[in-house]
Amino acid sequence: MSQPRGLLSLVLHAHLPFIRHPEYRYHLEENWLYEAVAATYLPLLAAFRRLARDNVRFRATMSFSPPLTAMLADGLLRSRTKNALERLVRLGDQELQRNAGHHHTLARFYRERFGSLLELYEDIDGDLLGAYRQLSDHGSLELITVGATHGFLPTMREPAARRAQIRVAVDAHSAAFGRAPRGIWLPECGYVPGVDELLREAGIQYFFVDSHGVDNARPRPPHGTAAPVVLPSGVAVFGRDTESSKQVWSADEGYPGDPWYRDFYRDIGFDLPLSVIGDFVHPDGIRVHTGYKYHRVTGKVDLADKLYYEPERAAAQVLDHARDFVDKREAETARLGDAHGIRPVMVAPYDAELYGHWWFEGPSFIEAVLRELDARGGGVASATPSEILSQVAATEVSAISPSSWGDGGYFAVWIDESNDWIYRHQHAAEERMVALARAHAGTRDPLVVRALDQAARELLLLQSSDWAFILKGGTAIGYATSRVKAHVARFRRLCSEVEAATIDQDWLTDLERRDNLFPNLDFRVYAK
Amino acid sequence: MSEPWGMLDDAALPERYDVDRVHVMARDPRMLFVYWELTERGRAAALAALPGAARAQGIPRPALRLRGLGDDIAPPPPGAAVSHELVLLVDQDVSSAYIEWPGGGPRWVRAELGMASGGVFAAACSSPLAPVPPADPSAALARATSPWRHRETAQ
Repeated sequence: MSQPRGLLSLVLHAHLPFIRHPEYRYHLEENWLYEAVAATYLPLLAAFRRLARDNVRFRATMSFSPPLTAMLADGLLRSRTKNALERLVRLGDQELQRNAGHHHTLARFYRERFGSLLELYEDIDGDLLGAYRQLSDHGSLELITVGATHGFLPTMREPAARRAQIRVAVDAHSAAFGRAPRGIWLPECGYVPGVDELLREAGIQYFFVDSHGVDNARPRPPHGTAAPVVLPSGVAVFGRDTESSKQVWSADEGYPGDPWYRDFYRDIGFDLPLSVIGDFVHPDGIRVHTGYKYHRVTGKVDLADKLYYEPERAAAQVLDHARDFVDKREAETARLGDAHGIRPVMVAPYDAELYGHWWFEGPSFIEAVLRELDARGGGVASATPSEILSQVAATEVSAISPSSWGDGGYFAVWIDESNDWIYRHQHAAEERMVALARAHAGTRDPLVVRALDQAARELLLLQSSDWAFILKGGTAIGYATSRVKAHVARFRRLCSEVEAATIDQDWLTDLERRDNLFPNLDFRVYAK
Repeated sequence: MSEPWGMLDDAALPERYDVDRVHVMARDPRMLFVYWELTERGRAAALAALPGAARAQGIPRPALRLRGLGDDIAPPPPGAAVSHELVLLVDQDVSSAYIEWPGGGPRWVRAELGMASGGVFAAACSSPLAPVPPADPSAALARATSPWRHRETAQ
């Protein structure tokens, strides 16, 4: 392959909040994991494996958040994931019997799809992390970490709290994937000055910000987001390429809104009578998405007027869109190359769950783009951030701007009238955790260590940006509120018991079983 | 949702922490969020710190003071001059507010909580310095470059 004129770095950010409820046989929000496995993590894995099998040269980056990593490794949740996949197959069997004509064809399409995903899950013995690690070993996929519980760093008060989010993430990633991450996805791309120093301390070499984080840097980097920038700390940062993002994200112009693509909202979980679908929704009769969706986007029409999905037609659209995407990257490369006199870098980050969960054909699109880049032989090549940095001789030194990739570009999603009440409790907990960690850093009492380790877990879970995001979005408000309250209460009780030397061992043991992520966590991370 | 394991799922949040605290965060380049808690002890200490002449000029009231400093993304050095100041009287000991901030103004802000009277403010506590994002690109272009040395991490 000749030397490429431009480099495209696809970055898929995979994250779900830590939701694990062993106390319930069925839990509504726990389904988010099973849906994402079936819709995104397995289909993406299958796509990457096909590329590797076919000797396609491809490079991509995936961030796995530590909560997601913990859930994918958890025995209970793996068993429940398998049950969920089996339930999808059973629903397919029921649908095949129930339907005729067009519905029957679509039922068969889904039945075969979920059947093959179940086979893949069984083939890897439920070990999604191990399967992705193999792709990383293959050199095609770079795996990076995310803040420990997807805590939004700009809204933390204590530097030690930010440090803990980063250190615990690096340790969790190393434990899960067998090697330390070179890069990190800052939760929501939330950056404030000083975070880069903490990243450097933790051995992180690079991270990402939204484009205006680079464009508004002081002084202004001359190549904008077309080249990595190095901060005074020595850590490199990549800015999001606006054009490639817009082609996928934009509600109006983005590919996922194509009329031929499958519609997300029409689902037999809502369409069919409970007498038919009852075994596949919430046991209390609450309707949920089942994954069996027989309609396509169609256009701006009411749900009732959606037309039937045609998988072959959608597959053809995927190929067209992949070619269009690569065409546009080649044009962008030519434009940026002329303007800056460099080999431009285009960083295209997306939420992984967009691909498959929201945009059903998304994993096929990723696969098609990577095949197309390889087939064209080099105008634009896919590359990981580590590869890009290894080829860069020198980078501009600049201080990037505080920013996020949330609506508005700053912190308004997570600092809003709907969620700002969280922070006085979170900050009080951060302060107390730091004080207790310093006071007990030298303790050898195993019960105190366990209680403080668990207090650290509760604080980390409290800091998850998901709760504020959900409150702002107005979706699962009751659940997010109850999680914030529960983690504050559990944290405060643990701290009070440590302070009073009255640790309730049985209660602590129960809590360790319930909020069981980060088994190797050491509370002393807050003492530094 | 019931509570089968007694894990405090339904516990109420504390109404106050009995600690003097103020915290400021920029929501965006033009809006700050501030929350605070002023205890009786903090109120008394701030009151005692007010000069007698200031106390004599009116009824001392709880107040927030926001002080802006620095014009760069990097934190200002100790002792940097305050370039923007705002004092707001507050009605409640435990509350929060959104406060407009000049978009092209100082890049860092600190909030203080205390008592004010006769145009004089005395602090009971203060927040860490918070960065305020710039809203626009810089006129200055980066010229310094640094060689990127690829560091191998532990495998």
